[in-house]
Amino acid sequence: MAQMNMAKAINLALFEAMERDDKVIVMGEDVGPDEGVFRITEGLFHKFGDKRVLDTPLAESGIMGTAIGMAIYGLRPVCEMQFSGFDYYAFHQLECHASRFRNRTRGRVTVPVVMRAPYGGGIRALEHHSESREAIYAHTPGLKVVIPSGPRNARALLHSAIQDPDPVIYYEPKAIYRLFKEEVPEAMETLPIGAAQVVRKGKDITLISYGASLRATLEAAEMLEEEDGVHAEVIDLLTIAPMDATLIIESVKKTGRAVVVHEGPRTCGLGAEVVARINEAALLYLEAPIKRVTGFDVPIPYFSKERFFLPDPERVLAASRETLSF
Amino acid sequence: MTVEFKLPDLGEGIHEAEIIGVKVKEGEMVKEDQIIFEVETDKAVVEIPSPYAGAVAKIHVTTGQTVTVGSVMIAYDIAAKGAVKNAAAENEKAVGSVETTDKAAEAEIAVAKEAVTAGRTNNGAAANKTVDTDRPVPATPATRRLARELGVDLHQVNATGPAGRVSKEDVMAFAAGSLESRIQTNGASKGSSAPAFSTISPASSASMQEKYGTAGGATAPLSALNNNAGKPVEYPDFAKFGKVERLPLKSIRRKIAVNMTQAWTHIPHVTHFDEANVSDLTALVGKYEKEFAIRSGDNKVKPTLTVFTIKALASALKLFPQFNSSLDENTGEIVVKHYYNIGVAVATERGLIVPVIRDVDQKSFYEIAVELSDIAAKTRAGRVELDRLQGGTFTLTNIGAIGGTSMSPMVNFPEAAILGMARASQKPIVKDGQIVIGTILPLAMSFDHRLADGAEAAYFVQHVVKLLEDPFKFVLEA
Repeated sequence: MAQMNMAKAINLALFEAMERDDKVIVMGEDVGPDEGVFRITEGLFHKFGDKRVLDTPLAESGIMGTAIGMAIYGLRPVCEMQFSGFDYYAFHQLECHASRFRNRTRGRVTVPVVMRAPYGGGIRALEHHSESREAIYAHTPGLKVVIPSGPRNARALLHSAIQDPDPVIYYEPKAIYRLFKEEVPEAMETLPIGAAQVVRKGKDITLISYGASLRATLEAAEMLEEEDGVHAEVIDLLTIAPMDATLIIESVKKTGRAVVVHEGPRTCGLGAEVVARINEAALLYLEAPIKRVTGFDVPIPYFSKERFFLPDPERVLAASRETLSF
Repeated sequence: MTVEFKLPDLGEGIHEAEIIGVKVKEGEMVKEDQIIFEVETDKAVVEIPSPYAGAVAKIHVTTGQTVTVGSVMIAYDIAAKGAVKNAAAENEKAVGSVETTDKAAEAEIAVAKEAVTAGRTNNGAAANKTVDTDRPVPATPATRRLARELGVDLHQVNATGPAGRVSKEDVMAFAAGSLESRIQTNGASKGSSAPAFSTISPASSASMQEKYGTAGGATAPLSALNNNAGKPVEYPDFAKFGKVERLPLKSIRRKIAVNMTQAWTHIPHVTHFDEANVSDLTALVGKYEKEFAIRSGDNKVKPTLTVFTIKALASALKLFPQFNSSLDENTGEIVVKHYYNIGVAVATERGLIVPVIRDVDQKSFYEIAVELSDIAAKTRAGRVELDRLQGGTFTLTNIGAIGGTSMSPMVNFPEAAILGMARASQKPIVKDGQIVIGTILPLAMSFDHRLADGAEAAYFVQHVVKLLEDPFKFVLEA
């Protein structure tokens, strides 16, 4: 179809979903005539009107609670939280109702709601605007957590999230909204939720990442190839809950070494989960301990020191070399 | 009251020890764990600490005396009641103390148990290494898996990896009955361009001796192996059920029957199966067929798979001399042959005959092709010279011309092993995720499990496979 950046691809997916299914409702703070703080809802209000694109008060709990009610009654609301740092207000509604409703009704009623939120660092923002707390949602049973890493998979995954019968947290790595363009095909695509992808083939080490950190990981893989002649396999998780452990384990059984990369804090982060899955299923194939390149267990620093917090290619490279030379 | 102390069990296989030092005198007060004796087994010198505290009442042994496990060595006068514990427990404790003492002691005083194990497992370097079997050995999980698969106890392996870890190479070297240290002393280079198994040193006769002990050490006849004595077998009256014919068993058939009975009753057979992708090799064979025919003036002289396999065997036998040996049951010795004569099984009208191609390691592919053609023709015609039927060290049998997906060949007694080649045929194989057509040669090697283990056989056959799969390796080996 066209080359486009991730912000545009998400916008496209919303357009397509709303055209395809009139039950799809977009709601959130400033998503209407103002077209969203990151311009993700650009043109939607103009095209679909105020019955389907709803500006809400500045009250995340209210947005989510309303959306859950709509979903139970048959709509497919897509809520935008302006920044993931504000979505803790919606957490109670998500945890207490959305995630439990299928179980509470013994499978009779599900909650097909999508919570979109820009997350992560890299845009030199203020407090509450850069954090990466996807693990909180991944830890909550009943929620699916999807994180795209580029324009094409962002569009496909959003379609899958909207079509999913259960609540899906759709976290958008805001640092890469406009970082690069990619060919996005004409035809509407979906990607299965719960499936990771091998985005670079290799045989010597497995690098596992998702979201914005995938960029640093891929760069490190290139450097490993050029400087060390090492062929790194890179896996993009795409869905962090439920996690595609099978693909990871298959890869690690082949390479015997792994590094997990994400910008969320280290303790109880997704890296810990990946390591545990590998240990459970591929322990006897390991040639070295699995390393984690992650954010630190501190609130993400303000913009002048932000870059020291986020995983960069050098940190991934160093960890990979340690693993390879163990 | 008086308690006696008996010579404790010093470890596997040790039944007696010679007293080489008595460290205490009668009437002397000894402390618990004080060294009271030095004894020498056939494997090591062991210090024996006192399991009790008390006065020495009587010493029952003298320096130079040989004592057996369980005989009373010393008696104590122990004043306090309750100080005496269960004698068996004390004996156990004494052994434990021996190990503890050893850790602190000089390297040359090895725990008997350890020395025995080290001697048995051929890990020369481990003899001076403290083996603490209570703790896990540092090794990566992948190395542990390899060790488990090869049946290697990591405690016995000499660690050369980073931070004192046992590496995969250590485990493989151990499994192949070889050691890094020996590779160094043999001067074999590790990083050569030879195939992957180049890290396994070409074991010399010395290493075979290290592995199995020197001749003259234990030369007692292995009577258990001489199981010829048997009652006559009872057969039913075959004629009762229909017409039968009785023929004399004679000539070659009788000889084969005798040989096979010997092989079957004397050699504990194990067969290892593998296969080689000989696509590249068959292409080469086709390419040079004409050249061999022109050069020899005989179109029966061909660079066949058999020729290449014979050369591959020569290479493998040098690396794994246990398959080029025989077990002499009468003397209890292993006879390692330093010549490489490959017997080639030839089916004739009168029965199976195995002419021998001598010194295959010193002959070129062409020379072997010429000799193979000659010897096969003569054997089939019944005109092969007697001396060409003797002196084989390893046998190759190829039923590929007839067919077969594999086989379980019987070792040509008294050799150590036989390699069978079945029919090389085109098969779908998976290469880089694609199904392609390859020529697969099934291989089956039966061997004397007394002389070699499964892992060694697997390495041996893999070495042959590697050469057949990539004939250029022959060049690298030369």
